[in-house]
Amino acid sequence: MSDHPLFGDAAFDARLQRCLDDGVDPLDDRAICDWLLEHPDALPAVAQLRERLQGMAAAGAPPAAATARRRLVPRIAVLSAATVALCGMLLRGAGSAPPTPAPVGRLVSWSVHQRDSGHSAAVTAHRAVADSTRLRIRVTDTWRILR
Amino acid sequence: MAAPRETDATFAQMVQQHRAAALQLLRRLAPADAEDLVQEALAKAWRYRASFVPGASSDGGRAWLMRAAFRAFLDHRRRVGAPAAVDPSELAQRAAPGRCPAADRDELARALLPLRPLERALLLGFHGERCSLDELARRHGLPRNTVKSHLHRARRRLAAPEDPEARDE
Repeated sequence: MSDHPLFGDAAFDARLQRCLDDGVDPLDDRAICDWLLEHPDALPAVAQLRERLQGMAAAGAPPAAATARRRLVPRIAVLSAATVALCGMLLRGAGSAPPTPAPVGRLVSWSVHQRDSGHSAAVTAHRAVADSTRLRIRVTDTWRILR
Repeated sequence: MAAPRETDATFAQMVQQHRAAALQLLRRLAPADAEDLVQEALAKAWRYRASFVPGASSDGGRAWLMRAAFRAFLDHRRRVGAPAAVDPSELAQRAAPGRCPAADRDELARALLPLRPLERALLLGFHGERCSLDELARRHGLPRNTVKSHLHRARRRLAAPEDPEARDE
């Protein structure tokens, strides 16, 4: 679908994209608002896009400590990849967890926590979707391992 | 034509069914005021319930209520005054812990994961780092118009519901 106009209306799609290219909030554009009032089914998608783009702008720069952390990242990434592979084997062996999709994004840290009085453990992995000096966005996943 | 009491009952049922969707829309548009705005939208919708025709649409009135919610948002913006433009650089400069809560960041990160690496890089470069199209073209060694079309496609993907097939290639 992504090669076609977002809302099946090329003129609307073009206007929306032009607003975003110019750094203008599309909802400040009268024509866009009028179109949305005529096509309220498109509102959730436009609202979602607007919120996510604003979220990206607001994500901001990483703290100064991130610079030092980045130097450790290559070593941690190697260790983490090995550990996650090991956990994956354990999970498959235990047959106790649903299959998980292949992780996307660079692995930057991980940890193992004992839970429920030692009856289970959890592996938490942090993956970086963006990790530059000006922008840092990460996603966290937790896998539970039953003994 | 349905009797008024019957129409009111149908209207109330429609509101009950689609209130959550209207609230979710307003939470995305105006997170701080969403609860107030949905009340305002519902009050207005009730006043104008005569214009709601049960069975006129296949969605059971969802679009009708979403339109009412959007009108409430637009009225609210007119009242409080909205900035003429979103300035991403200003937003980025003001960014601080709390402005983009962890849950929102996680949602954003998950939304970005299925995008192609180039699309993700362009979106983050343009909207996150506030690079210009020319800067991104130089950074990625691509013509400006190619950058633009990738960026537009990335936005379409970001607006679309989750697509499990749109994984990294």
